[in-house]
Amino acid sequence: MTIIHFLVLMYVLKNKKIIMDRLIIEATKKTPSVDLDNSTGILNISGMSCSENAMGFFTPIFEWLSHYVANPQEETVMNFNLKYYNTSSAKCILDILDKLLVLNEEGKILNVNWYYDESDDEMLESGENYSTILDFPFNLLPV
Amino acid sequence: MEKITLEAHKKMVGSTDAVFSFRGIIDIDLVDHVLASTHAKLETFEANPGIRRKVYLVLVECLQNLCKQVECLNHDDSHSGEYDKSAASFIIKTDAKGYYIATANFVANDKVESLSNWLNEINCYTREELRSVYNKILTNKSYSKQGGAGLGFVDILLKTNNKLEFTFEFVDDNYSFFSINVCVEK
Repeated sequence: MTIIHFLVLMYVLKNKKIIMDRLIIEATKKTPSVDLDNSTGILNISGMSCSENAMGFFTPIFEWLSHYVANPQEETVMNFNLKYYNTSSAKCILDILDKLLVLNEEGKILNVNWYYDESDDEMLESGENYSTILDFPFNLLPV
Repeated sequence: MEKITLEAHKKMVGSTDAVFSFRGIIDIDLVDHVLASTHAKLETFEANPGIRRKVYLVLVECLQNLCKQVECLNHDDSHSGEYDKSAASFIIKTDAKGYYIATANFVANDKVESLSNWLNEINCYTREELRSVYNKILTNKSYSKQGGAGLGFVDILLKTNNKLEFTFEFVDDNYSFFSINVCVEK
């Protein structure tokens, strides 16, 4: 782990609250708000995701997901409502979706809602692209 | 310390169409500050939200890439010679036709060939080929966990639909000066 990884992890730990089985991370100017609720199976990631070290930010989310998919709700809803994301985050978003697809393979219900600004064709295209890469249908929802 | 003359100022900033210009030691805190400042400025003088988003995202990739390249330098001997190799420059300008982002930094000579080849290669791709390369890098399990300039440059090309203009200037036995220009049309 580099010093930068360590500092980002410390920052994330400082700004997150784990309430029971729920992971909440408050948004910053360059990282999204996160609310992953084990009790409802509703997972929300929204806002800006432009950290230069996205992996550092998303690591607690991957850890939470690893626990969740081992004991999930019957139905899981993943809501992405991103305004911007950089290429460093693009890989992490794919990894999140990749982890959640296990639920579908195990017969659980998985809904992926990909929200995008009506004027943002690129965010729509991004949702379509992830859906194609993963061969899994998304609900593409204009806001 | 030398005063900044009008001539030096003109060289740094160019003309009144500069949104932001910088020359000096760059780090991620500075990049964050510039991104936040430019984001706020774009909100006031760019009416088209699509252009605003595009300019901001291209700037994110350009400046974070610039920062990574500077971090990759061998800092032990980066201060030797005529130049401080940790220093970098960038300028953001706008006119009636578009936004222009230029960045420049020192790179190790052993990186020049591969970077130059990569930029020449992706500059020739069609949009479909770029999308295919983007997906290939994205789904590559060995892809750098901190992201990577490879994906960043492909993303810039996909967003701008314009070729990347770049040059490498030989500096000394260890370093070259890399400059790249990106245009986001209005």
